[in-house]
Amino acid sequence: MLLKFLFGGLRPSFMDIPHSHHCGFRLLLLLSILCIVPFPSKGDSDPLVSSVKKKCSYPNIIGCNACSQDNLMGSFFNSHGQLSEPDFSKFLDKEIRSGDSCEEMLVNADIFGLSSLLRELMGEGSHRQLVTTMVFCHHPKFTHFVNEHFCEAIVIEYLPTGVFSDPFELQHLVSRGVFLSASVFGDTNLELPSALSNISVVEIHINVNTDAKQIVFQLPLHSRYPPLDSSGYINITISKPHLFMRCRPKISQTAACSWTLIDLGVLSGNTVTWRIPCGNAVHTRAVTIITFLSAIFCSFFIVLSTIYHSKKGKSKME
Amino acid sequence: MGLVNLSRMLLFSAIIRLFLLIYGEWQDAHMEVRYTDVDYLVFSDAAAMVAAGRSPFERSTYRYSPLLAFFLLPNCFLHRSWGKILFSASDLLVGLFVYSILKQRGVPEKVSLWCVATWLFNPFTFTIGTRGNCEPIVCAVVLWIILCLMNGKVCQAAFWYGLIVHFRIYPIIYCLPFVLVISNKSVGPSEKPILSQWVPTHKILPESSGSKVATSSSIWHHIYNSWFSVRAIFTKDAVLFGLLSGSVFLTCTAIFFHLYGWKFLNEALLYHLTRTDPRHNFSIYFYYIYLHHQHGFSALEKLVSFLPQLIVQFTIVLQFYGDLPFCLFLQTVAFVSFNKVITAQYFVWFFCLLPLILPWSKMRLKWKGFLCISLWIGSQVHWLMWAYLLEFKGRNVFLQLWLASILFLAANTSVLLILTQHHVYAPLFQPLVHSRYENSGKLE
Repeated sequence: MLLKFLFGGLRPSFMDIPHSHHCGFRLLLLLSILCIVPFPSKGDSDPLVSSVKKKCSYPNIIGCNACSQDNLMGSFFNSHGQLSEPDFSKFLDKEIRSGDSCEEMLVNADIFGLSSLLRELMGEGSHRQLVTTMVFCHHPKFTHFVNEHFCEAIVIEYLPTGVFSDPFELQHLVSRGVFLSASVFGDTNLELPSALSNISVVEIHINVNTDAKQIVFQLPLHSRYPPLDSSGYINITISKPHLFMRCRPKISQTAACSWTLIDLGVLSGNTVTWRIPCGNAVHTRAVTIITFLSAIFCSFFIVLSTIYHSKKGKSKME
Repeated sequence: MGLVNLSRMLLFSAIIRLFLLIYGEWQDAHMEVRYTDVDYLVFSDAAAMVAAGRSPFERSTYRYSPLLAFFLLPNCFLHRSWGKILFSASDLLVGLFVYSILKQRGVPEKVSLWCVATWLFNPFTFTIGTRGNCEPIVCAVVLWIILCLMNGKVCQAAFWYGLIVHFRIYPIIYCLPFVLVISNKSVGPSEKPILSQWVPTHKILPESSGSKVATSSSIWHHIYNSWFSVRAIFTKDAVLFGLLSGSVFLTCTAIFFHLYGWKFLNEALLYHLTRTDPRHNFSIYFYYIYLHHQHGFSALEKLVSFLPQLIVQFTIVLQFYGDLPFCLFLQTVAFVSFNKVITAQYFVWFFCLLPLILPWSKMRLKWKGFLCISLWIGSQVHWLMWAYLLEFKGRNVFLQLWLASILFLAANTSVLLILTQHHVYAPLFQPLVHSRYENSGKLE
């Protein structure tokens, strides 16, 4: 929902397709685009799409803001308290679009187009790694620009109630230099089951190297105990993240940063699904009865043997 | 000569622990999986908060007394391993206390050293201290309280008892046996109680061939007798112990409540009293709690789950309080077994009391002892296998895991019954009625 809202004003990618005078080809293109838009997962593998010249995702919101702002979500949560889609969109408009002190950098914002987004959940069980690979389009100015600027990728992940990221584990990764910074907002309680918890938002900052053709990062995630379900498993879907590129010229310390929100909505990206085992309400009756019976049974045995043996022991001492 | 042996043992244990400390540092720095316990990082963060003039409870999941954060302050300015050194030192101190308790109870040197070894060289205990778990401190203080009581230092015992209940709430279960043993002890001429002395277990008369099953009337008679001794609880020393330890506990709690407010009370105290965890743990109740967590629990359900725990505790105390170390051991095993949440670190609570009861057990390692160890370890490994499938393979094995917890409870109960069956009842203090072993046990 949030993504839809944010990308509502997106310029549609087929606007950039070069006009062809061949009607049949245009029809074919239109048809193929119609197929792609509702089912983005078909994606890059489609030869018709790869033949389209423009396949990069383009910046959606670009603007300037102070570089001192350590985390975007932090200042949002400070002022709003909880995540709501319209509020966050307004916030981005206000915070990022408002500045205009870095125009020369904004001209170059297009260089951060992404050609693909790959999401994969590594591992099995309750502790997994969400591996995200974002590949840059080969823009001719990319290397030159990144050489002259400090650039970092800011990834904002929206985690549903079923999974969480441990802020202390993230701090450990920051101290090992994996991320520039990392923070978790929203429900940071690590112990509650899904039924009693809320969504959380993770913001991580990753350094973008000069020779970077892509951004690859692993986010450690943990599953909560899901609500009961008779099927025995519950599927949790993790939506696409937000990606910002934040850059500042290397020569100047005080200049404002250029902020670019890269639109990942048009990129084909497999949605990540996590299958989590859950308790079955059908068991409730049997489990309750047997649990209490075994507790009573064992305590009865202990009581009996305790009384019997201590009596024997004591009478022997006397 | 004997002391040299003990010192060598302690020295060797210290070297093992030092090596593990250094190895732990290496593993933390070089490997993905940390050697250090997650809780240790929590303590350290909380200590850093205190050093910065903030509340330790600002670190989420810090659920201990602020005292612990104070103890670990040197973690911030000396070295981050300070806490581990402190915990490992307490671990060695437990070994020393075990030795002195056994010595004072007249256990021969060789037997005592074997018992000390079951603590010092238990792989479970030396890893727990070096990984940064605070339980060895609690164990050391509990043993120190037993030593104080054995030497008639009721006030000192009360002070430490109040402090340790504030520090880690579980020793509250020891309050009744402590009070009972204080009020029933015979006081010698120098105000020091007379300890009964160890007798080799094979010299104890074989079991009488009479009826093995106690009739219900004799059980009731026995309960009545025990109740009678409970009524004699209000001796001067017992009241002193109760008042003093109570006020130490309340003072500590009041000071920290003043400093850190409700957050302290909720996290460090009330959390432990009302803790229920739907996530898998050794407790038989975990799946029951998970199945009910969306609806909450009625007062009746809470009472029913509390009842077996309560009955077992009372029976053990009333029957065995005279044999204090054995009573505490049984209580702790039963308390942990019937608890709503059980994690592996709780096992240290009774591991530290185990060496204190071994000299009075008729059980030999070959083969009954071996059977007990394999039963206990086996049921644990079986549980761990299902837990691994659930947690690391994502398989739905809740039912199997819950059955494994019931099996673990059954194993705990069986081991407890076997230990009770082979234990020779040995009151800590000389009974007021002269025992026939009065003069035969002087082995020192």
